[in-house]
Amino acid sequence: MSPPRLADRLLCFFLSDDRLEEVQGDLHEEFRWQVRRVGERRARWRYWWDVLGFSTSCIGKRRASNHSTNLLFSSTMLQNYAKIAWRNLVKNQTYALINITGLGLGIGAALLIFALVRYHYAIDKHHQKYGHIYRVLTQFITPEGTFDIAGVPYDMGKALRNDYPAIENVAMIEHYWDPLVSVPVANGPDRKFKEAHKIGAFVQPAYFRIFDYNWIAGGPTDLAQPNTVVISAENAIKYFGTTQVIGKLIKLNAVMNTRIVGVFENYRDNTDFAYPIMASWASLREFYGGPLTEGFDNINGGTQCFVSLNDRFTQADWDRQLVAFVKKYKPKGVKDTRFPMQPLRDIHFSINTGGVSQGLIWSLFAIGVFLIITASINFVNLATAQALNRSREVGVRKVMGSTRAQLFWQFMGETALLTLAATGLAIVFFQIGQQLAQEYLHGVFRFTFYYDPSVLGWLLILIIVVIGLSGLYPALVLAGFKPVLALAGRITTRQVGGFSVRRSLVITQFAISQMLIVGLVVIASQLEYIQTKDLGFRQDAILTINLPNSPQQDIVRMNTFRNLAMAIPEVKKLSYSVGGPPQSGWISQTMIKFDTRPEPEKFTTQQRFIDAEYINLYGLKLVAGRNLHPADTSREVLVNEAFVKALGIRNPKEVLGKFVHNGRGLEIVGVLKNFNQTNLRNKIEPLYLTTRATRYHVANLQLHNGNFKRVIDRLEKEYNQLYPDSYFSAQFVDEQLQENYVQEQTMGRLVNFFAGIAVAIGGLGLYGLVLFMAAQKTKEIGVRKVLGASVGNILWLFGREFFQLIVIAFLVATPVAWWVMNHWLKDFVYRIDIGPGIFGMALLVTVLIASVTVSFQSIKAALTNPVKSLRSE
Amino acid sequence: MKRTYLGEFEEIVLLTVAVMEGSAYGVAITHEIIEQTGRSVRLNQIHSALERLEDKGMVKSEMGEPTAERGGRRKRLFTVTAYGRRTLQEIQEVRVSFWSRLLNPLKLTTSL
Repeated sequence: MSPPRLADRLLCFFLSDDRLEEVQGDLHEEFRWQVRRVGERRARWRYWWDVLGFSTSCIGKRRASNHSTNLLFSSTMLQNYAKIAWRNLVKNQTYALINITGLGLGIGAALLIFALVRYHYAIDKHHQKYGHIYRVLTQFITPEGTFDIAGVPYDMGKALRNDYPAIENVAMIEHYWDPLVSVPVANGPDRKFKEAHKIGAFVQPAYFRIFDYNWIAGGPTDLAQPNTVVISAENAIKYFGTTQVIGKLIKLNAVMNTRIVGVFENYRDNTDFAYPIMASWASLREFYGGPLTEGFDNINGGTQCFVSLNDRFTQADWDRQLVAFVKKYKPKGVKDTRFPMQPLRDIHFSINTGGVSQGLIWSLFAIGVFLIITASINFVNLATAQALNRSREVGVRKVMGSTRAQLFWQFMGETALLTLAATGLAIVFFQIGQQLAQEYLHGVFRFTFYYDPSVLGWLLILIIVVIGLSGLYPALVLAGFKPVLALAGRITTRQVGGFSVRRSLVITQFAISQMLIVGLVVIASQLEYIQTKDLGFRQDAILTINLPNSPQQDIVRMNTFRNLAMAIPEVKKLSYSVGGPPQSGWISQTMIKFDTRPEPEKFTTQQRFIDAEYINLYGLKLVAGRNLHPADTSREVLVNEAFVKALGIRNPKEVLGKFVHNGRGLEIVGVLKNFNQTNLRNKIEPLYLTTRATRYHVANLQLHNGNFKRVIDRLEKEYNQLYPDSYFSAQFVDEQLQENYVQEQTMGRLVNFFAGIAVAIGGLGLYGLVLFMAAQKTKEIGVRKVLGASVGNILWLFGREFFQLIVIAFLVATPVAWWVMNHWLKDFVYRIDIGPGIFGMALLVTVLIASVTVSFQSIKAALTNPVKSLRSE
Repeated sequence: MKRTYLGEFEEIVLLTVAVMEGSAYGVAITHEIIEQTGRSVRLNQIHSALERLEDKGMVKSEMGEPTAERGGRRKRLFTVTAYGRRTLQEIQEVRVSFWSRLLNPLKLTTSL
């Protein structure tokens, strides 16, 4: 039966020692009395209440008296600290400005980075079942390792539902790119909307039991019927001007009429699954004009399967079933195919299936940490350099009875004040940075800073870390001065942590700057390299035009379009194909049989549909055999060198005349020299190309140089007449290629930006340090000049020191930067070597920045008239 | 006449200290006031009132004996100084003189 200990401790904290005994005694006596009167529990509450009563009457109201006061909460001392802090700030405005700007930039940029990191880690977290949602993947196990495809066979959903009824929900979803929506208009042509760069979907109703949607009108219940669709509120307003659109008709991709049965609330920014239009799965048959492929052999990346699990059936349960499942549904794939479940939280970061690189996020995070370190180092350097000026103050305070703790907290408090001022600035920078990011990065690399309390939490943590990093060391040094030495003015730089501490901090800063510069140069050169590397095909002046997005192309109309296009004098050649040589969207992978070999081959082969003009138009080279004969169906194939190599055959000529079996036999008539099929991050994969007119998606047009705009306008007119239901979209191949490297470009830009800030902060600190050195050495410079030193000598006095530091920093930074950047480059199959040139460049840049910063002040110091600097004593 | 004025609460505390004749300390005063006036008083209020009174020189204090129920801590015992006594008397005199000039004190109490 004793009073609450925590309350007692609180009391000790804010009550001065001389009053503690009587007050605590009274409180304890009262507590005993109350226990007898009202019982222990209520007595404890009363005790807290009483203690809190003392807290409000004690803080701040303490009067100056002959009693000694509590150390930390004396209002008189607080006033004095504030006054001294303000005077120091005013006296050293330049340093204060440098500190606040540096810290503000650092905190602002770091906050920006952390908000970005936070954004990526919170993607789709708002779904209630977040931790229980999985996507079923197709995984191929090849000798070179496993690789994942997001797609699964159409029958996956049915199989899971039938065999594992314990799985909570199973939903299939089918993607299609750039949906085209036609809204019927009474007596007039349909109004057409192309949802460019967006994905439409076909879903099963269970999808809405897995993911959370808020319904404005209608709902997903009717989505079991064919020819039904749900759309987002944004799109409803776009099409009809209202969200009350239940029962209205829209036409998808000009082939299928659908009835709207639901309107859902717009997507939040932080989701990877923003499908504006979702039609019922039951409509797929009509959309594709035929039944879906059955069986487990056909996989495409756009057909995905989501499940939500609960305790009755967990991911571990599924892992145990994997082999049995493959054995039952794909007996041929027991050795090399699996269908693992991928947790929702991994989807955003799985690069294989089109996610964001986690490495990118973490490298930005590292830069954020560097920023904070650099800014804090500035602070420490300037504060310790200035410490000498405050030695008298410390001496006097100590003689008057200040304790070490008191002085320590005084200086920590000053740091905190500066940091808070910097935070104000940081918030301004944060806002500006956010605007810039929205402007330059949105759409390219989707991100928004959405406001959530965690960003404020980050800011708080940042502030505390910065105060700790930058305040701790100077405060310890200042509080540790010996009063006798301090008052006699005998404190030298050596006692202020010596120059060596500051030196090593400057080295750290230079090292960070150099590492970042190396990073910048490597990323830039790699980008340059992949953008200019010979990909093995022609890229310039080739225009691709998308054919209508229908599953079966109309061959007659394709021929008409060819004739119309070739009639334009600027069009040199035209070829139809499923896509251009660098294809990213639609990649069809299959396992094929070769010749008379009984087993299917162990490697996967990409399959492309092209016409006979294709290889001439793109300038692809044959190493053996001949081109395909013009045909509308598949009979002959071309393969690439990688295919021949994967078969284990050395001479390309040997495969000519042999057959490739994928459903039916196709004769190999030629072998193409390897060219890049996707992008330079990936290897060149085995590939075969064959004719099949109904599956073409793109018209490739090689143009003569001239007025492209006019040609495109004319093509658009012809196209719209020929395909009134479709939507004309044309793009040049070289532009398309650029899009492949968007992530790298964005990364380059982000790293550029933040590294630039880090280097700037470092430069700022250096400037402050030289400023201080120049002020200290005024007399020395005067004497030296009188004794005959030249301006060059004086400059070298400043420069020597820093160049030594830069060289040491270089030795530290080089191996680290080399290791990190080599790691990054490993993602690319085609990559540059990191040569000494890059490091030399980093060294040169830092030397340049340092010289500019240093010389600015030192030239001023060197040119000062010695008479002036020596006159006053 | 230069005189330090007392607040109503301070006056009650001072009177209680006077009544308790040398055995006045924080908790005891609190309980006495609660008992006599019925108002709810908090310990910290008593303490700060006592502190103010001491600053004004109306009470003086010394540390008493430690007791077990206080966890071995000493009490601060307050006694009224001569100045404090005189102040109380002056207040009393002022009041008496006003009350004597009141024509019909009984009516006043009934109307309340």
